[in-house]
Amino acid sequence: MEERYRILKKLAEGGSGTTYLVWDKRLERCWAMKRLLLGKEGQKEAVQREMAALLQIRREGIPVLADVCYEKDAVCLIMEYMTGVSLEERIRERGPMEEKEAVFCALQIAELVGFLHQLPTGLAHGDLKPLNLMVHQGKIALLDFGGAFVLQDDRQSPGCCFTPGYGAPELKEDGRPTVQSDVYAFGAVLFFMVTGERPESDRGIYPVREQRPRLSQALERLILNCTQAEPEARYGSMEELGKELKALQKQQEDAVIIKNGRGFGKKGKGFFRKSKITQTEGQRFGSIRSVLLTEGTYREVRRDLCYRVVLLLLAGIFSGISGMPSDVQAAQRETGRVQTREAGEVLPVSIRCQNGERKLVDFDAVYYTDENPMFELPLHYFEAGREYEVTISQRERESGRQRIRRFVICACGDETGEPVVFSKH
Amino acid sequence: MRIQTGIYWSGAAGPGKNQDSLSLQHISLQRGECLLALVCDGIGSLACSEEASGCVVHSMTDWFYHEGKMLILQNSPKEMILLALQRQMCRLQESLKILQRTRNIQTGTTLSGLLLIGNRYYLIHIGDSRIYRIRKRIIPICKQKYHTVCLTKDDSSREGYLLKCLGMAGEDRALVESGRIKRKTGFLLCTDGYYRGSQSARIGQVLGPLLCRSGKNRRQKVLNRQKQNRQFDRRLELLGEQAGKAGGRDHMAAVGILIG
Repeated sequence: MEERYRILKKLAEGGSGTTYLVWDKRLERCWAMKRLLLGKEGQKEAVQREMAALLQIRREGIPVLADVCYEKDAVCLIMEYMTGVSLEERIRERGPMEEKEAVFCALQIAELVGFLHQLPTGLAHGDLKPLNLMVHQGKIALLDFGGAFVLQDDRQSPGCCFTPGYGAPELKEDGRPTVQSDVYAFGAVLFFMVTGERPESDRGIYPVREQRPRLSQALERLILNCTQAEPEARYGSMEELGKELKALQKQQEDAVIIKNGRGFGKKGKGFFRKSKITQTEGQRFGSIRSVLLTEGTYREVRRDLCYRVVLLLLAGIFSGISGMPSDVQAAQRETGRVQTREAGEVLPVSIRCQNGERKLVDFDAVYYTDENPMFELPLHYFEAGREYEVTISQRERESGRQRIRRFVICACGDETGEPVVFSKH
Repeated sequence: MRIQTGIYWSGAAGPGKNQDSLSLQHISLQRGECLLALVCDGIGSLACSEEASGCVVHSMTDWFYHEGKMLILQNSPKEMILLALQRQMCRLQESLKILQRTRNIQTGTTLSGLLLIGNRYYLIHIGDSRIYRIRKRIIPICKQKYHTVCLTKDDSSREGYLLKCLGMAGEDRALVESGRIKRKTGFLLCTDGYYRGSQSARIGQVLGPLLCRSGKNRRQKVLNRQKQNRQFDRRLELLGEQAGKAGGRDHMAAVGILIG
């Protein structure tokens, strides 16, 4: 295994094993490696269950199982690496979600879990909880199939997963996950999303409007229906639940339209003037016809899920495509003396996100990101054997506060004489 | 200026997924009406092309309501709008490359778009979809195909492959141009399945009469707008059905705009 995979970092550690980010030397890409120890009782069954579950699933939002490696006392599952943060971390960092955002995420979770239930053999996830849900750019991914249970197989031994607060009451006795137990866990996850409180706390799951009166009654009812003690009293399927969520989403959209006063009006210079959608600086918009038809499921990054980071360097950095000059200045330092390079020379800078995707940046525009940006300078700009001082100035858009960072960059030649650049500070 | 719009999308009918996507955004402003019409045809020979066309249509629609809206409100000159459109094309190329990289697929799409602001139109075009201008005669104004041409016998297997489209064109730029709108002019944006099945003359015959109509008064015209749009939809559908009957097996998408 070590010949092929190099461990980059530890991602998570649980009772059953540890998950690492690994680099595949042969395919030159990252994978997530879940190393499960086989010492514990029932662990072998859990590994087999997870493998069997992952092998039959191929869907966006569920990691693909790529390889399995056996060690003396452990099994390593090599799976697709899902970027993002866990739902638990997301709520802990940014607080409970707004209703619209929660419904949007819940709909995705319902679709993913519903997809598992509708597989030919039927599969219950069995361990649905915020830690097993990843959020990346508004998209949800479902992880950890160690508690997965084939619904149409009576010979199967019960799963070993029971998370207090998220596990349905009947799981304590029987231990066999069902569609209804997944519905319960779903309700508990939704409760956590809108309140930020763990359902395993002393209060348990209570009507959410007690804490947040602005949430809709329909959402409150939906959570309570999901988390009924009796399995028969809960929703019968994820499909049914999905329909309820869609209706809720539609209600929210309609509410926005009514609030904005869409309709005909006599005021203004003509008709349709009163039908406002957004109002910017006194300018009024009215939608006459809006149609978008596609079978592609692609959606743009939902901006409301990302917190706002203002990126405004020195005077603005332009992408190479716009063909405009960059204002990042480079100063060359020779024997302790700083010399500015010839005036007018500009240094183009590319901005990349953490996974290396290049971002296109326009002057004076606000970008939304939840990742640390990386600034890339072209290598050919540096000469081997010299030191450069690069100044990056950052100004906060709203307060105007400015921060300046200086780096000394040393360009050393490698065997081929090409410069290799590293930063001293 | 009275604007009528019509759409036709063959939906999920036919083999496989419909890789064509369309978007029509028609808004009213204090200065007049503005419109964005887009038609994208995902490249069938590549995987998940409906994703590519969907991505382009979503991104462009988003652009219209964000950057486009600001440009319109600021009464920006045509050069600035053309530059913004060109820049958006580059962004689309980049986002499709990201889509390809993250999903590990090769995908691409054509794009034909029309942006109407005030008395100017802006055309965006890349690939083998087509934009027609309908006046007394119907003229295809954008019909660059960029297909390979069979030069030798060995090339014959690659003949007909689309070389230039979003997601595959490398650094090639899309055609972005502008012009002045004249009254009683129509535009039809359609994918290859649509125009291959319908002859230009037939399109003019079916859509031309709609141009000559004039309502009794302004109020009547506005109230009739929805009715007229529906009528326009039906005419485009008729053309689509005729194209289907003529043996077209490809999915179809078309957006029509009539300026009265």
